Parts: sequence; structure tokens; C-alpha cells
Amino acid sequence: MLEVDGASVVARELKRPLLELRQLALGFDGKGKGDEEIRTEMVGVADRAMHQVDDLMKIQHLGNGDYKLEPVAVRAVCDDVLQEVAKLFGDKTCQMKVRYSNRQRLVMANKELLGSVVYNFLLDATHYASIDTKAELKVREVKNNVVVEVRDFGPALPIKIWREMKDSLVKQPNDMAMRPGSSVVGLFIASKFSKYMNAKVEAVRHQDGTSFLIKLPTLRQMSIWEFR
Amino acid sequence: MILVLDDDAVIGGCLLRILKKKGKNGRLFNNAIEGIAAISEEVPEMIFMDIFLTGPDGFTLLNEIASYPDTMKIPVVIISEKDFSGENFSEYGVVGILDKNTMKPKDIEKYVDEYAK
Repeated sequence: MLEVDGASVVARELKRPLLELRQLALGFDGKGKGDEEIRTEMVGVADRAMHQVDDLMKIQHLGNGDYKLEPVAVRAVCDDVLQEVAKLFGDKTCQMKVRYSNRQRLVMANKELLGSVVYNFLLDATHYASIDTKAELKVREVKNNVVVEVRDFGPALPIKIWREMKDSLVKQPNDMAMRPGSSVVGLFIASKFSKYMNAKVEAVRHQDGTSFLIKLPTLRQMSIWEFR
Repeated sequence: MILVLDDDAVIGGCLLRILKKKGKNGRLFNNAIEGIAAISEEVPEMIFMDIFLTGPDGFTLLNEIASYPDTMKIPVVIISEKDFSGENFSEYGVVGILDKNTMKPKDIEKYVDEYAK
């Protein structure tokens, strides 16, 4: 699955939460003052790391038929992910603009894998969010696709990664010079899951950040969702 | 005021808590540009900073503060995962280098006791 270079990038990224947990634990004085805040942060750091490890393990099982493709309502998946991210970041998710303009058409996907793709992009976008620059989540319909767009206001995506994404796949998490604070492993996971679901992942580089797009073909049959 | 520069919000938060316990007012920024802007508003007592930051790196800030007489003597402690042992950044006002892998709150406290006015 991962070549040596890729494995070292994964190791480096997964070391980060361990460093954070170590520092948080050292700050835990057991006297109550600030301990609750530290405990909450520790749980958040551990949850994010476990999510990423779970996703990496899922990649191994993609070929086993464990993840069936079925009709999925994209908005419902995004709502679930937003709730999950809100638990991790609390107030910071208030700094996210959400806009749904699709007609609730269904796509053929796997709910769990699609959720992970959106989750990985939203985690990065939330990292770069501030009062002035809100992360954005948009779901819209373009021709026969439902497009999920996650826009962040971080540094521009390195051109090498952008080129790999133009070919619809980050082959290996191999770029040590990924954007600081951003997860190249998350991008790798998103690429793998999207390819499995016959979806396309693309990135658009802006002067002040990056948009990640997931294009999922709509189901041709009518859906009860359309009449809501 | 003590300036903290780290694009890892968790680690930055840990540093702020240590400073608070020492009765110091810490301000956290995740990039060099905002850090430089904060320094031009108020010259900090000292700086704790990571080198690899979102956007321009920590060396940008070190160069900037070394360029002006009112900021060139700000004591700076580098906190990094990269091994800088054997390096000498004293011309930039760097008084110490801490390894993120092994540092403890008492290491921060020691520098605060020694350099924060």
C-alpha cells in the first residue's frame, strides 16, 4: 500500500498528535484549574488521530467489498461530518460558511467513505479558519455531478501536489513540503476513497488558499429526496 | 508580553498555559507575518517560536527583528522538532533551542525566569 517514503510521511504526521498529547499531559497538574480544558483537548487530539488511523486501515480493505456503493444523499453526509467536526473544534466551526444549492439528488457512493473525504478536507480548512477568513463548504450541482467544495484560506497548495490531483490521484503521501498544518495523509486518503467511489477529486489554487472539489456523478433515477 | 509563534494550536496553547502560570501575558500567532505585526505594536519581553510555520518561516521573523535596533535584542527561544544542535543563531538574539520531542514545562519556565523582564 505505502512505499517507504509514504510510510515515513505517515509516521511523521501521526507523530504530531503524540507530541501534542505529551505536552498536554505534562500540563495536567491535577489541581482542577484548567484541567477540564486540557482533558477536552486531549480527547480531541486522540479522536482526530484515531480517525486518520482508521481511514488508513480502511484503504487496505477497499478491495474486499467491505464498502458497498449505494445511493447516498450528499447533504445528509455533509451535515453528519459538520457535527463531527463541530465536536472537535467547538466555537471554531462558527467560522464556517455552509451553502447547499443542489437539489438533493442522490449519488452512488459509500456514506462512510464519502464522509471521510469531506472530513479530511474540512479538518484542514478549519485549521486555517480565522475571524476574517471563514472556511467554506458548498454543495452544488454541475451538469450530471454533485460537487462538494471545501474552500480554505491557508497557503497555496504546492504545485507538485496540485499536478498529482489533476491526474485525480495522490499516489503516495510523498511530499515532505506539504502546507504547514495541512495533512498530506488526509489528501492521500481522500484520493483513494474518491477513486473507489468513481468520484473525482480536484484542487483549485487561489491566491489566498485552496478549494478542494469532490465530483460525484448523480444517480439517473428520480429520488424521493427531490420532492422534499 | 511574551510572543509565542507556533502553527500547532495545541502546542501553542500549552505554552500559553505555562506562561499564564508564571503570571506572564502570552500572545499566540500561527505565522511570521502576524508575529511581525504584533512586534511592531509592542516589543515583547521575549519570543518562543517554532521555525517551520504556515507561510513565511521563522527565519523571516528572525531576520526582521535582527534588522532594527529596538528589536534586535529580544531574547528568542526556538522550539522545533528539527535537530538544531551545533547551530549558532546568537546573532539573531537566539538564547536557546528546545527540542519539541523532549521539552518540559520547566524548560520554558527556566527561560522565562532568566530572560523575561
